[in-house]
Amino acid sequence: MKDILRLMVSLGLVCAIGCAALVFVNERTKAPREAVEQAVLNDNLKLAVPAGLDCEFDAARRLDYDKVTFHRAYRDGRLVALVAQTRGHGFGGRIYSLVGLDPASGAITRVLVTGHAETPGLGTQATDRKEQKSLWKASELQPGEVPPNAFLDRFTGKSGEASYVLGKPEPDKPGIIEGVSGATYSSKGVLQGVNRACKVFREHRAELLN
Amino acid sequence: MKSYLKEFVKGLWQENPVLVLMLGMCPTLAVSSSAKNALGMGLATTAVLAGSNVVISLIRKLIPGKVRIPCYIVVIAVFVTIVQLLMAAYAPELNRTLGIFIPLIVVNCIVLGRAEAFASKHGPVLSLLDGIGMGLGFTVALMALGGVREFLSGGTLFEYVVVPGWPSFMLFKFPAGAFIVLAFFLAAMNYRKMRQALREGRIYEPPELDCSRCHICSHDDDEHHK
Repeated sequence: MKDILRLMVSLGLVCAIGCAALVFVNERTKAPREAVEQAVLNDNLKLAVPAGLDCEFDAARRLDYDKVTFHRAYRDGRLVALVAQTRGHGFGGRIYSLVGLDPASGAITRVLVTGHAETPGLGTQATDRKEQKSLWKASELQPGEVPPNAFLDRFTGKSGEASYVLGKPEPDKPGIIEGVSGATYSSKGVLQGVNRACKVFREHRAELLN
Repeated sequence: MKSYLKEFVKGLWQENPVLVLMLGMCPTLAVSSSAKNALGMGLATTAVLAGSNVVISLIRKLIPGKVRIPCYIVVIAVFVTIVQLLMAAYAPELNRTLGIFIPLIVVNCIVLGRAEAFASKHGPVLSLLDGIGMGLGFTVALMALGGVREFLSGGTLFEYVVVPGWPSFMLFKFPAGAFIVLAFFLAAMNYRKMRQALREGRIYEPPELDCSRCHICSHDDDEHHK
């Protein structure tokens, strides 16, 4: 009996001290972590709009819907950029993405995956925009541009109000997007996020373009 | 002084956790698809290993033998979470590329293995050196494996093109490729040992990989605390 008590107390103490240490570190790193998150979101929002469009996103004019948040940028009282922050389910959990929409035409300007837990080398083929670096050639990327991703770039120029499915592309069916072989679940996760953003845009177009 | 150096160096080659002790195969096979991932995972593991080894060595006489393993796991998990939080706050770039690998360290059996086999029997300074040495040995083995796999699969190293026009060879990106490359590494290690034995006039006998060779759980709890 006494022995069991000793075991309980010692294991309990180790857990309590461990918890206290985690609480301390969590509190101390909370502010810097949130600042980092906000800065990263701001940088990413600017990458989702066409290159060269200089704009500041207004946090006060954000619109929240079910699973989708729309960020809007104004210049002289006129809406110049619209970006949907959305998510879908991939192979390793949620895939967070940004879908840039052109306020004038309603077309998708760029899809950018901002957070995921997909398998490196496989699922990341459908999510990551990575420039191929070379020992023999300098980077040719301009500021504001993002490296290409064959899958994500298939959405560019498509309607922001349609609903998309994975499949073999046909010329007369713009709603079919070709996925990445070896990364089917990741492709589906990205597609689900885009579809959610498109659905909200379809249903709340007037309010969003206000 | 000599023994300190010995504890540090042994993890690098003589008792390399991956190539000799055959510990931590799961992260080894999973994360060695590129040299960069391997380097990050190795360094994060080294940090956790050094920290947990020191703390476990400090509390080794206070915790009863019967609950020592749960206590070690709690200590290791705390360290992994702290590393994760610190990385998210102060090294966001690193966190973005390595974020998903960090929680994997909790289940890395090298960390628990060194806690039980070394830190629970030695002082904090020796345990620290053992942790750093083992961590660096893990990093080096992982990077060698990752470098070979990354190069064979795409002709790149640390994501830089080394040989332009190298055909994409996906096999080495997949887990099957990890097994194949690891097998060649282990075969090379064995070949070296066989030649060495031959030179010394012995006959090389491969180590038996059963419980008789490992002393991690052979001692009972009372003996553990003498």
